[in-house]
Amino acid sequence: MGRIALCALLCLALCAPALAEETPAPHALSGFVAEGYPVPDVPECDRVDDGYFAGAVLVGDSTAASFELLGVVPELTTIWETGLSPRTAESDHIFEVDNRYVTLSEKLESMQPTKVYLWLGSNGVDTKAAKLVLEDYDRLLNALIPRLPHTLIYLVSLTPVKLVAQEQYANYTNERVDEFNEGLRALAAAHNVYYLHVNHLLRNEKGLLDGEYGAGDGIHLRASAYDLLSAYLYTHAIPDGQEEYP
Amino acid sequence: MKCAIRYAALLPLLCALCLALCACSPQAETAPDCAGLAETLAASQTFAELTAIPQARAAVQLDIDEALLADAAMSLDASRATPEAIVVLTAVDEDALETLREALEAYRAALEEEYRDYRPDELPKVENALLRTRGLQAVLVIAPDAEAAAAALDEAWK
Repeated sequence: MGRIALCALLCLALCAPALAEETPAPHALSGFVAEGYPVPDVPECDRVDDGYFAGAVLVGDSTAASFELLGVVPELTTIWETGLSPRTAESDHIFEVDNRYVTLSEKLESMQPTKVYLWLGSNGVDTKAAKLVLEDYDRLLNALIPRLPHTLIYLVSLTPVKLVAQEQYANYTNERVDEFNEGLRALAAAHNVYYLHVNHLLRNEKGLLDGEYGAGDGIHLRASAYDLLSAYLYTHAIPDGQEEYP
Repeated sequence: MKCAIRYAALLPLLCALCLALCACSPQAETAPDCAGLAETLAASQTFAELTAIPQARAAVQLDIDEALLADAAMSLDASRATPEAIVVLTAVDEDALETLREALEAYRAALEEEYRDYRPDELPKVENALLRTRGLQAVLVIAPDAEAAAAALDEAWK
C-alpha cells in the first residue's frame, strides 16, 4: 500500500510540470462596459468628432508611425517603436517615464489614456507562428489590463501583405495574417476588449494588399492607406464610458 | 549745389560698400524657395513614394522650434519602409541655421540607429546621406544615389 502511494506521488510529481504547462493562464478581464456593445466586434457608427480621440493612445510599430506623421487623426497620441512586437512591448524597458525606462504597460499606466489602440503583431508573424505571437499578445494584455482596468481597449487587426513580402520574410503570408487576426479576435473576446478588423479595407480582389495602399516592400503602407484606416477609426467607435470612471 | 554734387559722387562708393558688405553675409545669398528646391532634388532620381508634410509637423519630426524657420519643405517615405527623405530648411538667421543643421544631423543619426537592425539593406542610404548648408539654407537628402542628389543641389545652388 505504501509502495502504491509512493508511486502515485512520484507520478504526480513527474506530471505536475506538464499539467501546469497545459493549463492556460487566466485572461485578465477589462472592466470597461458599454451597454449594448458586446465584445469583440465594433459596429459601424456615425462619424465621431476629433474630440473622441483626445487622450487616446495608439501603440504600434513603424507602420503606426505614419498616423503621427500624417496627422490623419489629429488628437490621437501615437507611441511607436520600429520593430516593436507584442513580446518586446512587455519584455523590454524601452518607454521613457520621468527619466527612467519602463515596459509598455507601465508607460500606458503613467499616461492614463482615455482609450488604447494596440496595433501590434506584424513584428512577430513575420518570423514566428501566429499562435506564438498570440501567446505574447495574451501576456501583454494580462500585464496591461490590471493597470488600466476601466480603459476602453481596441486590438487592431494586421493588414494584408503583397506577395513580394515573402522575398524578405518567407513565411509572412496572408494565410498567417488571417490566422493571427482570427486569434486576435478571440483574444479580444477572452479579455473583454474590442477588435477592429481593418484588414479587409486594404485587400484587393486577389486577397492581397492592394497596390494602391502597399509600399514597395509589400508590408508597409502608403500614405493613401492611412486615410482609409483613419476613416474607419472615426466610424467604428464604441461610446466612451470615461465619465463613469473619472 | 556743390554739396549735392559731392554726395552724388559718393553714391557709387556707398553702393559698392553695401554690395561688399552684403556679399559677406549669408542673407545676401538668396535662398531658393524650399519647396522648389525639394522638387528639384526629388527629380534627380527615383525615390520611394515621398509624402510632403506641413512645416509645423516637420518641426515636430525634427524636434525644432518652428520659429527658427523662415521657410521649409520636408518629404519622406511615409510608409517607413525606407528612410528616404528630402528636407530643405531656410533659417531666420545664422544662429538658427546652426540649430537646424544640428537637428538634421540628429535626425540622420536617429535613422541610422533605427535602420541598423530593422532594415540593414537600407542603411547605406542613411550613412551616405547628403547634409549641406549654404547661406541660411540647410539641406538633408537621404536617397538611393547621394551623388546624383549632390549634383542636383550644386546646380540649384549655383
